Amino acid sequence: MSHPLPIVAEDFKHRAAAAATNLRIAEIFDRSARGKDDLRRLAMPELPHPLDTRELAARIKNHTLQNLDRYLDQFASRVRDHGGHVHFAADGTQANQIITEIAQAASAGLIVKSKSMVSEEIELNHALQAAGLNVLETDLGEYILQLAGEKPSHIVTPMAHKPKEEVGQLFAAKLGIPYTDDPTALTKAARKVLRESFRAADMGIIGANFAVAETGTVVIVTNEGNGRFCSSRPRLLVCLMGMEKLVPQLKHVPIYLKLLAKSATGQRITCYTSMITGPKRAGDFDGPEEFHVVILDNGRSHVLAGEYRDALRCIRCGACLNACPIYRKIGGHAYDATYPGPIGSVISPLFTSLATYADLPSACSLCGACLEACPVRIDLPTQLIHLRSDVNKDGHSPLSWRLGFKGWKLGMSSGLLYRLGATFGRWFMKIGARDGWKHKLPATGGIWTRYRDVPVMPKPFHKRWADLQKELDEEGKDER
Amino acid sequence: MPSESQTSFFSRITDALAERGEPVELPDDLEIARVIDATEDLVEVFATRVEQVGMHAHRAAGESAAVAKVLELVEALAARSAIVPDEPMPARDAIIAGLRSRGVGLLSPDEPDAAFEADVGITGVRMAVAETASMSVVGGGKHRRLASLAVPAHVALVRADQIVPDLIDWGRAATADPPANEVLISAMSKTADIEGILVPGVHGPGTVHVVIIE
Repeated sequence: MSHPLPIVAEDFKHRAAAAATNLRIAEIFDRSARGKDDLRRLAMPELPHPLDTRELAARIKNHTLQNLDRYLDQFASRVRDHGGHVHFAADGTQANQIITEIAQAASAGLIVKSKSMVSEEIELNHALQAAGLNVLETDLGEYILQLAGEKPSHIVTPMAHKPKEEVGQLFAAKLGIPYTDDPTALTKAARKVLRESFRAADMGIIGANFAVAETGTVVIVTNEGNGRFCSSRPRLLVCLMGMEKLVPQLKHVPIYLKLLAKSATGQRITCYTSMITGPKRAGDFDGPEEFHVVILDNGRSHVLAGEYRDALRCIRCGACLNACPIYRKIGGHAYDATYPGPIGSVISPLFTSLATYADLPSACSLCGACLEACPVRIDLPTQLIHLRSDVNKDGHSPLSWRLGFKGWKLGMSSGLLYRLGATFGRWFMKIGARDGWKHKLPATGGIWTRYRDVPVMPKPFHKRWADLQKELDEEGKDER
Repeated sequence: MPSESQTSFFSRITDALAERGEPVELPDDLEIARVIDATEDLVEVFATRVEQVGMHAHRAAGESAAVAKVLELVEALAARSAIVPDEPMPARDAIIAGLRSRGVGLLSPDEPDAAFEADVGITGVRMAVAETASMSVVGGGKHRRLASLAVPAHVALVRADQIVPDLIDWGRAATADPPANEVLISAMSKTADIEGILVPGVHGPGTVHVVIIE
């Protein structure tokens, strides 16, 4: 099966250019992202004070992050009080090892997994499969992507890029059902397979939308109900969570549930919200006998320390992706990162390395739509500007770029050099110009003239001002 | 386990927070997020919003009317088997007797796979939320987590006095020692993963009936 998005270029600019000129991608993403953005705009005014509520959500997270050591310690103690196990992982490799060993120690046959972006971040499935374990994604979108061997292109609707005809062909090939592109029939076919898997699974893996410090509760939301199955049926349950997911008390959870669902899909609340507090208790009929929480750092403590701490407030609703004019044009895969879109352009370089994702902070026109959409008011445009400056400081931008800006800075800070530069520029621009327009510029200037002409530089203002003054003086003399 | 020690994990966080900045108080103005308050007709708001998300609301005057409604729904669903967990719920005995007399097979809630086989699951709720059309169903004891999940149709019984106005009220009612499992059911199971087209009943029930006892 061919990859649906023919994006193979190594660097972001080429991937973005390829995606932006692929009309099918542009159409699919524009429709799906715009649709969800519209739903969010319709849903938010249901709150009597939408902006105050978003700022409240931001303040609760700010307080929690500022005291993360205290809250994390409280959370871990409470999980243990309820008979759960807590593991700490410095990075993805460690987290993958921990989960692999939990599965092996319990001789887990089939593992059913609920959707989790942090598991994508650390490539958990890959690690489990490499250890010979059988792990099955159970969110319909993730299940389809797993069958197809593809990566998510959106953090909430992972297969936003995939047309139904491709799902039909995939199911015909992999599940042996007659071809259909009817979403209801395709969903029923997947239901049949997944239902038997829920029944047979030994182990469930879930992420965490929120973790409550006071009670040791893990909160997950799913519309499909697969999160409920994964956390209720298997005898073993593992929750993998980033360390920033905490809120102080259960009473704070409603604020985020309201905002998350409205921002992500325009719902009042997600269909199912599960609150899981430890393994099943003595005498309980249902629930996991064994419960593990794996708390992941993987670059987060580094973000906590610096000026980008606010990015850890993110609740992964995807609203900034849906609002972003760049994401809508190029889709999620062009970013080539676990987290695409505006929030991804901030956290991908921060969680991994600035060198790996040096291009992403520039994947933005600074229009501010993401800040306007964000339910926890992360100032993504400002963070992206600061990241651009970090990229330059760390020398990840091209040499020509850095020299160019050095020259610019020099010219702009001296009157003489400015005038010299402008005179030279005007003279240079006149060469080969027609009717006052240049059709082609050399070097970096060519990026501009590839799409539009550029006017030749007019006489500078200070020159024109001086001329005008002279003219007025002359007139004054005449009148006298 | 190759787990990092809690001490070294926490030392990175403490170092990162060396400059915590101006202390941010934990806000307590949660009320600004309130959508529904107690002055509204909660049964009306709840029933309307249950319908808006695609579940079905039925208002019953009293328990015997509720039992009749449940039996009528079971018949309309053409359910031949049912699971009724051994948990506190309104009129449980009368419902069971009614199902028996109509020849509906009652699957033993003690059998772990019963919910996978039953045509309908009938449960009570701990609390309901008018704002979000949510029903809180708790696990623990003889509650069956799957009786409202693995079945194709779920019938929930909600007493009018169990309805609170807003999700904030649900949050405030939570104790510091919650049950091992609680779920807020706020719609039927659904997906829109394939081209954004809504399909109900992807894993869990595609049909949810809410019988409100006034």
